[in-house]
Formats: sequence, C-alpha cells, structure tokens
Amino acid sequence: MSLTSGIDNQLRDRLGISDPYDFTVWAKKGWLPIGYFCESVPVVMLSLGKLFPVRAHGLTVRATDRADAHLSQVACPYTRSVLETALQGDFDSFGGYIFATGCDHIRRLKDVMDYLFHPVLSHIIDVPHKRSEQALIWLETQIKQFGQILTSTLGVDTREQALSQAISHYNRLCELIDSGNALRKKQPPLLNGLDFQHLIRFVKSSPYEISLSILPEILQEAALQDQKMDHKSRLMVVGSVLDDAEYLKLIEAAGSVVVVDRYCSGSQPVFTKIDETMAPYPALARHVFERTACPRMMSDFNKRVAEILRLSQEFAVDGVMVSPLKSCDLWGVEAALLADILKSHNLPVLQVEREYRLLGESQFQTRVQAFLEIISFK
Amino acid sequence: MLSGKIHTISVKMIYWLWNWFKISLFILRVGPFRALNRLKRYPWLRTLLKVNHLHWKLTQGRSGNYLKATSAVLSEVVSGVTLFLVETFKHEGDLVLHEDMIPPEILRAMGLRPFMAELLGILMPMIDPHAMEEYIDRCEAEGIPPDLCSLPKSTMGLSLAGHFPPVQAILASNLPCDGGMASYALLERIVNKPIYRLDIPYDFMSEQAADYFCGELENMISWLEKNTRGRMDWDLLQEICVGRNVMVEHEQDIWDMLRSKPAPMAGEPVWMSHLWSFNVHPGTPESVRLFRKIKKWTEQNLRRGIAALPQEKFRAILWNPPTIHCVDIFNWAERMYGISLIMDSMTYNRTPYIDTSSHQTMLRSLGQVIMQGPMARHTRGPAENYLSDIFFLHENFQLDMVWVAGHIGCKNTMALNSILREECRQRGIPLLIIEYDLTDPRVVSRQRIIDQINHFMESIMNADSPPAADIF
Repeated sequence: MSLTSGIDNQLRDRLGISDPYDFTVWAKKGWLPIGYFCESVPVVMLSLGKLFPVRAHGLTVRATDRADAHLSQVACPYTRSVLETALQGDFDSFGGYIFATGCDHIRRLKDVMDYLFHPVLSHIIDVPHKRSEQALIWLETQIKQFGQILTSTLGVDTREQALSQAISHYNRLCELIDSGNALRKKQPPLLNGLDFQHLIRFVKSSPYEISLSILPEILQEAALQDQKMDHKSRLMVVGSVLDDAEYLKLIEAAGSVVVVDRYCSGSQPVFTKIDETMAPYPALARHVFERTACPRMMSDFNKRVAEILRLSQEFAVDGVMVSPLKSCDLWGVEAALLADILKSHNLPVLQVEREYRLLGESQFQTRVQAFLEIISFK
Repeated sequence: MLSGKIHTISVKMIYWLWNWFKISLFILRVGPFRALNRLKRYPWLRTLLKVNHLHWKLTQGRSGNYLKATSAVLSEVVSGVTLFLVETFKHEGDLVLHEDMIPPEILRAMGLRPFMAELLGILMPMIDPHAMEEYIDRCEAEGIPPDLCSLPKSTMGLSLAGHFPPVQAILASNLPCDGGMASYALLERIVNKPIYRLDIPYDFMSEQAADYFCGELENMISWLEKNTRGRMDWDLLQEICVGRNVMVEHEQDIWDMLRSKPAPMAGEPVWMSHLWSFNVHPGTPESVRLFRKIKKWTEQNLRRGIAALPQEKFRAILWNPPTIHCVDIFNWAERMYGISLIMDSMTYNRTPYIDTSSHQTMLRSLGQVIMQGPMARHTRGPAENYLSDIFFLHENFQLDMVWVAGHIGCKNTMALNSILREECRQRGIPLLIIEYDLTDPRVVSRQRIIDQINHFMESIMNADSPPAADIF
C-alpha cells in the first residue's frame, strides 16, 4: 500500500490541497512558515502561535550553479541545494530562518543567506557540542534569548504556558510518529521506508496542528491494511540529510524495505518526546540533545553506536546502510568508524557516500544490489 | 657593499652552525641509543631533524636586521623542536596528546608535557613538502573521505601508522572545524587513552560565554588531575602568563611599527614568531627573549629609516593558515615582486592579554584568548569577524592587497570567498585567493601556486614580470 496516496486523498478531501509539501499553501491560510536547516534547532519554538517549522529542502533544484559560486563546490550539497532554492525564490514566503551551530556548512549557509537576502529574522542558536550540566544551562539561555527574539520580531507568545502547550502538541505528534514506526517493526512491515519518508516530509512541511488532525486516520488505515509487503531484507539507513525520495525508492526497488530512518531528515531520534514533568525551557534544552544523532556531539560516539545496535535488534534489521553526504566531515569520519564497529557486531554494512540528489543512479543501484546479495547469503 | 655581504653570509653561517649544534645536543640529551631507537620507531624524526633546512629557505635575499630577526626566529624553532623531541622521548610517562587549539600554558603549569597532535602535520611539510603524503594516503585508505582537510588527515594517518609516542591522556575540542573535531573520534579509538573534550562556544563575545568556557577549563584541569600525574601549580601558571603578556607587549609594539611605510620588519619575524612561540612555547624565557630581540631590531630599522625590504613595492596580508608546504612563498614574493608580508590571520588577534590577578581571571583570560583566537574567531566564527579584521588591517596598515591562502579542504573559509570577493570589489581592494591544499602538494603543486601569484601580480597589480630564470 502506498501511504502517499493516502495523504494526498486526505488533504484533497479535507483541506482542498493538491500538493501536501507546498508550505506556501499554509502561509495563505494565515500560518507563518519559519525555515530551519538543522535538527539541533529547538523546533517546538517554531510551532508557537501561528508559526510552523519547515525543514528546508532543495528538492526543487537539480543544478546548484549559483549556490556553488557563493558557497563553493566543496560545501555540503544540502546547503548548496537549499541556497539555490532560496535564490530561485522558493523561500520568499518564509517569515525567517533559524539555524543552529550544527556544522561548518550550516554556519556558513547562515552567513551567505544573511549577506544575500537580509532576512527580517535570521538567528543562530549556539548549541554545545557536548552534554554537561553547564552545557544545558548555556543552551537553555540560548533558547530563552531566541524566545525573546521571536517575541520582539514576530510578536509570538513565548511564555512558559504557551511553550508547555506547544510541547504537549509536539509530544502527541511524536506518539503518532512512534505508532508509525511500530508498524515498521512488524514482520512483514506495514509501512515501507518510502511511504514513511513522505509522511515525515509532510510533517516537516506543515503546521503540527494539520499533521495531528490527519495522521491518526492515515496510520490507522495503514495498520488495518492487509497487503503483505514483499521484501528480502530489512534495512536501517544511517547518515546525514536524506531528502530525495529517489534514494529510498531505489533501495526498496532492489528488494529490501527500510525499517529505520536514522538520518537527520528522518524520524529517529528526531521525534523524541519532551519531558513534560520539567519546566518547559530546561526540558527543551535537554530535548535538543536527545533529538539529534549527529556526530557533532563529539563525546557521544559510543552512545550512537549503542543506539544503532539497539534499534537493529528492535527492528530486526538485516543490514545497515551508512550513507553520509559528500563533503560532510562529521559523517565522513563517523561512517568509517561505524562501519568497522557494526561489522564486528555481525551486522552487514554498506558504506556509501552520496550527493544530495540521486546522481550516478546505476552505480548506487549496483552497490545496493550487491549489498542485498551479501545479506541474503548470511 | 662587500662588508654588507660578508656580514650577511657570516650571520647566516653562524646561525646555521648554531642550529646544528642545538640539534646535535638533542642526541646527547636523549642518549645515542635511545635516539637511534626512536629514529627507527618514528620515521618523522628524520624529517624533523632536518629543520635547519628552513634556515636557507627562508633567509634568501635578506640582510641586516631583517636577516637577524628571521634567523633568530628559525633558531628558536630549531630550539623548540629539539626541546619538543627531548620532552617527547625522555618523559613519555608525562605526555598528553592535545589538539592544537588547547592552551599549552595550562598543561605546562600542571607539570605535563604537551604533545601537540597537529604539530607534525604543520611543521614537517615546511621542511619537506612531501612529508605527509604517506600519512594522508594511509588515512584515506581507512575510508576517511579525501575531501577532509589534509591536516586532520595527516594527524589521523600518523595515529593509524602508530607513529605517535605513548601518551597518558588526550585533550580535544570542537575547534577549529568539523574535520579537526571529528578526527579525535578516530584518535580516541587508536590511542585508547582517556579523553577530555573542550567545548568552545560560537557565541563567544558575551560574558556568559566567558563564564561557560572558564568552567570548561576548570573541568579540564580537574579531569587532568584525576587522569594524569599533572597537578596545577597556579604560581607557575601565573609566571607563564606574565611571560606571555610580556611577549604580547613586545608584539603589539612591533605591530605599531609595521604601520610605517616601508615596513621596518616583515615576513617570518611577524608570523612564524607568533605561530611558534604563542602556540607551542608561550611565556617561556626563550620566547620572551625572541620577541624582545625582534622588537629591538624593528625599532633600530625604524629609527634608521631602514626597510625590511630595501625595495618594498607592495604590502600584503595573508589570510588563513600559511601555505605550509610552500612556506617560502613570501620569501620568493619579496625577491620577485618586492612584497612585504605585514601581517597574517594566525598572528592577528584582539584579546591578547591575560589578567594574572587571580586563578579565575587567568583562566577567564586564557579562555578568551582561545575563544577569540584566530581559528575560532575567523574559521569558525561568523563572517563579520573574518571580514572586519581583514578590512581593519587594510585600513590601518596601508596595505596594497589581500592574499588568502585558499586551502580547498577548508570548507569554512571556502564558503566565505564569495562574500570576501564582493566586499573587496566594492572597496577596490585587490584580492588574491590562492587555491591549494594545506599539507598535500599533489593537489596543487608549488609551480601552480606560483603561477597563480604571477598572474595576479601581472594582471591586477601591474607588476613587472620577474626575469624568466627567477619565476620558479
């Protein structure tokens, strides 16, 4: 069953929208999209009032000639693609941009976008690179400062009560995403990776209120469908930004199903619940660390490995594809280390660097097919 | 003229011989058998022992106080390398492997012996441009992407080859960039010793950032006391910081004098003195003496109306880390085009002094030195830091042009080139961005670097082409 058709039908029927990923539709309905580029951003803040967070993507561009001239060709292809997208005007309806000190590329993307566009709201949150009590205090202050900026620039209520409510909605959304992931745990899975990626992309392109109204029915339909998914192996994909659905389409067309999306534009661990027993700002600071699996957290390598191993057990994964973006120094080193360690735990690993958009399709396909054959021999 | 030439030759010979004497002392201090053993175990030692080659490379065409200052800097580097080797091989039990942005002041004040992991990757290509190639290849063979900066690749390669000495602990940080930070994940696994990581804030201008990072340094000290034999001697730290402050005072005086045209000093006495003395041996009596001498010679030149370059035609700054495997590029540019290198980004900084009145103020000041230091401020910080410092120097040092060592592995600074180009264009400042690789000469050869400079100087600066025989 293809979930995407379910989302399309729902939106057409209930909201009169044909393209579920066109965030400008919500802008016309009175919502204000705020673009963000890294999951280290406290994204719940961007759902306060009439704001909604949009994870910026560069899927409407193929070539990045103008962006290359600004950011250089050695910059991350994700940042070049989103810059190219911004240059072609697709982000003109954004109310502003929020960045985090995720990596070198994101920081420089902010510098270049500020220089080119002079946005009304452009802010970077200084997220520490390690966890400690002092780091949490620092981050909490950063988030509060950001809240003050949201209030002064966009008139958004960022007081604790409003934030608590936003957290509550966000947690409900996480529960729904979790239930979607539960469907992927099943043997055979009731949702494939491609459908789930469409779902996550929709959630990250629309107001949470809309997602909360639509997801329960969609997921219920998926849970009840009785079509068996034909597949040879279950895969986990680990890495940096993976927006282009063509990758998952290709991976799953080769006979596998992606059951865990542990990449930053996916769901694991991005949709982790926020502790509602704590005061909202400290809880949000903790949550920023909990929702990222990025190697920018320099002391957490062992934690990330343990989590991958845990997820591989929980989702009965047959193999792991470690797939960083080209030019990503953080993932480049992490991938080399991860591959060896996962193999030592008897997990077949395919380490394959890629571009932001699917290029070199046949080479990628060959590598995936060879990997699946290796898995089938085990 | 003849007496001048005799003086020049004798200065060069004296320093060159003195340097070899210091190198030979290393063998005596370490012991001939241990020295031989270490030569076998650490192939890089053979390269480092040739450090005196820098003397001829970098003193070409220089005379008078400029020659003396250059020779003194290089001699200090030789001394420093010798001391570094003695410490490494005689005190292996006290070695701490540290990332190049970690302040050695604290380690020394704790009685520990710092082994800067990146030092070999920086120093060796200066002596032998091809020295790091095998280590880079080794690193890439392990699956590290080739587009990672070649300095962390060199460092990781050294570790993978087992060419680091045994250490007690590792100190790392999130500076200067993703590649540098990520490389310590691999180093941690290979070296297999306890590791502490410093987190330097991006938003470093606030008091809160100073508090946060001061806390980080305090935690680092506690951690070192738990995991090594080191114990903080605050009096010693104060002594080191006082020495460092004296160095800074001299350096600031030198910078003031460099604003004169023609410059009474330039080149290695400006940048290499800082690179070596502040990052490897800050606050030592030898480093203080070096800066005092450079200042004295600069003052003499200024008083007597003598320029470092008798035919100074152009004044330039170099932004980004210097062209390591082509370290004599400015010596060449001096002789070919009369270009004085007035300042560089690794030298220039805005918060140099350390408040030594208490433990807390010392740590806080050291913290600010790191947070606002060149690699943090420019490479990792917001674009306005990078640009504002360049244009400040342009305005205040009567510069004719800006050169950027455009290391293609440095994604941070490559992403700023377009903004810099546009800003320089608007201000009418000639800008040269030299495309090359920091430690790997195979990516862009020395000749290609020189070609880029030649094209710029002839097309943009309307300089006369040097004689054909001299263009290599």
